[in-house]
Amino acid sequence: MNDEKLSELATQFEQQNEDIAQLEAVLRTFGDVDISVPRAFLEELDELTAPRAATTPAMPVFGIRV
Amino acid sequence: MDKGIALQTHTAKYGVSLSTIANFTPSEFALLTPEALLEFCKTKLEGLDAQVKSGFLKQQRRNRLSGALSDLVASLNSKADKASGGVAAVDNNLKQTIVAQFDAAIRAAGGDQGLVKRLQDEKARFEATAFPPEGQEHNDAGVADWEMADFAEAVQNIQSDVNREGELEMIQLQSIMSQRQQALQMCTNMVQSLGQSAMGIAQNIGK
Repeated sequence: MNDEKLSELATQFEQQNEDIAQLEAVLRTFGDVDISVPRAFLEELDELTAPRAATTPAMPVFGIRV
Repeated sequence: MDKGIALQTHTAKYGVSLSTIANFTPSEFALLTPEALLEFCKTKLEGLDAQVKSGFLKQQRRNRLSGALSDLVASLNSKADKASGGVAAVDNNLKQTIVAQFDAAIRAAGGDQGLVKRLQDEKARFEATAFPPEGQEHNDAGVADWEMADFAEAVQNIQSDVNREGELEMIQLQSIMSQRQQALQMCTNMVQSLGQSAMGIAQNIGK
């Protein structure tokens, strides 16, 4: 089951890791400077990567709870 | 560096107009070294990595379990129709094969105690029919076709539950991967804009 989807996701994961390595390389070229980063970026990234509550099968994924 | 390196390039990403930038105060920016920014981005992305890796492991385990259950269902179904006549009392080979397939499925179910229990119950039911205690035999210790069909249906139900839960976990995994992609894209956009800004400043020097 899901073998194909899982393999696609694994490829995507590897690709993302390569992108992270490239990002790292570019950042290192900036040298010894201070850079000004909008706090909005830091907050947005923080929010985006915050752990989210897992949806268990017992919990309705879609629908309205009255 | 009060208002940051040519922040115009950030406006596209954050939807902030140039006039708004003019009103930004230093407190709306953080001064970071490239190392610190890199560390921040990596830490945030690594936070998702644990969830992604755990999701991959769960899916791989489910795929193995589903494969083991498919083998078991195939063996049970091979003697489930009337024409096959079920499993003969003397066919210890097939009986042992089915017991071994139950064991393989139980091993593959691993830490899922609920599934392990359901499989163990079905295995015990099969063994009670295929290897009855002395004096309690029916069907001459064979397993009738209708009994095999019943076992096959029970295992298929377990497999359907496994697959359904797997689908839900796959959706969660895809969602986390998409979150990771978005986070990575944000970091890439930020670094690109910083790079372009630095280049712009360098080109303006000496003009």
